[in-house]
Amino acid sequence: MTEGPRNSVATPISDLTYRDYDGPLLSRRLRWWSVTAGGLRTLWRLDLRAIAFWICAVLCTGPYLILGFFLWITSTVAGGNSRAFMGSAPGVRFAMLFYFALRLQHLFLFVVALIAGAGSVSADNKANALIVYLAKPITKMDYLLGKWANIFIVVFGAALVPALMLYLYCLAGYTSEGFLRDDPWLILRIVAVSAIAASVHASLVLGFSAWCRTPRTASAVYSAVYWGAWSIAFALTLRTPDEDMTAAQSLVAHLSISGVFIGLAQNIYRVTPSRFLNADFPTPPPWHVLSVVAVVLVLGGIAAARARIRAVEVIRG
Amino acid sequence: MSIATLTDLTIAYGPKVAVSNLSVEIPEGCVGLLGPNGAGKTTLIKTLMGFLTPASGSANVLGMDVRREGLRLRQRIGLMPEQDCHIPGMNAVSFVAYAGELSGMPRSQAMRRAHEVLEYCGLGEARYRNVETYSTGMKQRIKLAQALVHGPKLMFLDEPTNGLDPAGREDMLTLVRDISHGKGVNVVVSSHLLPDVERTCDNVIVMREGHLAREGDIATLKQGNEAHVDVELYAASDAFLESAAKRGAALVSRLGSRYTLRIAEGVDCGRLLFESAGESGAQVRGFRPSLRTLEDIFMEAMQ
Repeated sequence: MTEGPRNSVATPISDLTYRDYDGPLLSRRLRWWSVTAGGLRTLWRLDLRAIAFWICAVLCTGPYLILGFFLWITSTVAGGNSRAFMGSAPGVRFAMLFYFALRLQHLFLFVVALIAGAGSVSADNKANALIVYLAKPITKMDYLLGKWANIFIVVFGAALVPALMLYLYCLAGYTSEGFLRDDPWLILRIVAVSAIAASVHASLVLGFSAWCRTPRTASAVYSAVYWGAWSIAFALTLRTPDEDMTAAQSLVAHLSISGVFIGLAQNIYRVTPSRFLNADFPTPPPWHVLSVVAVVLVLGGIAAARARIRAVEVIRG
Repeated sequence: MSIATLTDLTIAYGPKVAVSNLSVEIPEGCVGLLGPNGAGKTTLIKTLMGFLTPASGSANVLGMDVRREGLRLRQRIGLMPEQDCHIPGMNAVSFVAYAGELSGMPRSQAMRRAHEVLEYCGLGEARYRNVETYSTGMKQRIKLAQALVHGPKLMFLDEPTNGLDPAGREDMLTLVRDISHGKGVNVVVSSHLLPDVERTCDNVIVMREGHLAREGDIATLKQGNEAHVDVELYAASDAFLESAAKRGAALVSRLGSRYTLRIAEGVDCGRLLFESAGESGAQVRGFRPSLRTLEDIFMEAMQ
């Protein structure tokens, strides 16, 4: 073998010649995971984005910590009766806790989704990096699936881990008060709710990211859509008290990104119209209607991203 | 042996035909892809990578059909694009290792290989620096490294010396030459810089307006079918040129009293020159066979 043209640099690697790669290759079906793993590794770097992510991830635990604290206060300091704090509906006392925490947490989940997803494709667009990915033996769908899974895992983790912490706390201290007996399937409901929130965020932020040239633009557009939809839904149902809402008005009130997964969470946790910590929970729209909207959002986001991602610009005409 | 066979290949962007009925065999080794802007070079590379679907005709690269086997093909091809294309926020080792992982290499292998390739490309000392802080020359090298990491059998290099200073250009050309000669990697270099192609390539394909204008190995093309001679007279003489033209010599270029003449095949060059000098009264100080440059070949192909 001949030596490479620049081998004079003092280096710990003694062999500077170019060799052909004849080592093992992973299955083609796992290529999307390389994209996901590459994205997840960026969260362990010491840069502003990663720091912002970890701060938000910690903030995601806040609502669950606060509710866990209230639970402890009411059950120990305030006379040993946590039922007053948790409401009177016997089947959903603990589920109510998790549902209320999600309502508070959704703001932080949104920020986590922005940090994890706004730059997922737009940063590649900005740096012309798409061609690096697609010139390798991966398909457009591998790339998309890898990016989607990256955002999903991050948001899912940020939603699920704090809920699991509260769940374990309840399991340790409130089994005698009917924690497991009230709802043996609560753990599955928590996982499902976290997965739905993560799916909706992952798909939409991926779609917006694919259509933007910079992460900042993608963040701005997704924020505008997220809060714009929420504001419109809020404004349209502002004058109607939650307890007087018709089914149609309830649907309108949930026609926003957060409204969809919060409404679905209310269905999944089976939280009925009630009052909890001075907050009114109206009757949610039927789960199947919200499921259709959620599926449309998830598929729409992925389809939008798919339509935009190309290795090379193809200008027709 | 050819690494790619194109048969009546037509590539169109909607109604606009970018490459029309191109039939050519791309030989092994280092091949230069030449042509003015809009000739269809980059479109051809995109198609051979499987990014664009041909409108008609066929293209086989390394024995694989670009229409049906794009994915398998890209396992064995490396692309060094013209524009900067790093993945943001990564240092060189992470970036090149990630490119290896995308090609299917296990993480440990990709990392080992990234170190090797970066050393080979001359970025050993800068491998832990963020790629965004690299100079233009270093960015060109890292593009080469990411294309090389998975051990391709064929590499497409799109303007590899773009934006490089003379020293950087020299290093890059040496690197390209080294890869394509003795490393078992075939290289297709698309460039506007004819001296770069002449330095690194053994063969050229010249394209013009989506058509094949000229192809072959550079040494043969330089000789041409007709002899070119450089003639130096004692003083410039139009009468000598007229006399030579009558005997079958055509003027290619002139500089003072030096002329380059194209002499038709089968004509005795010495006899033609001396007869013309005798007739015109010009004094020939010397003459020698003229070797055409790649630029001459290119300009002829463009006419």
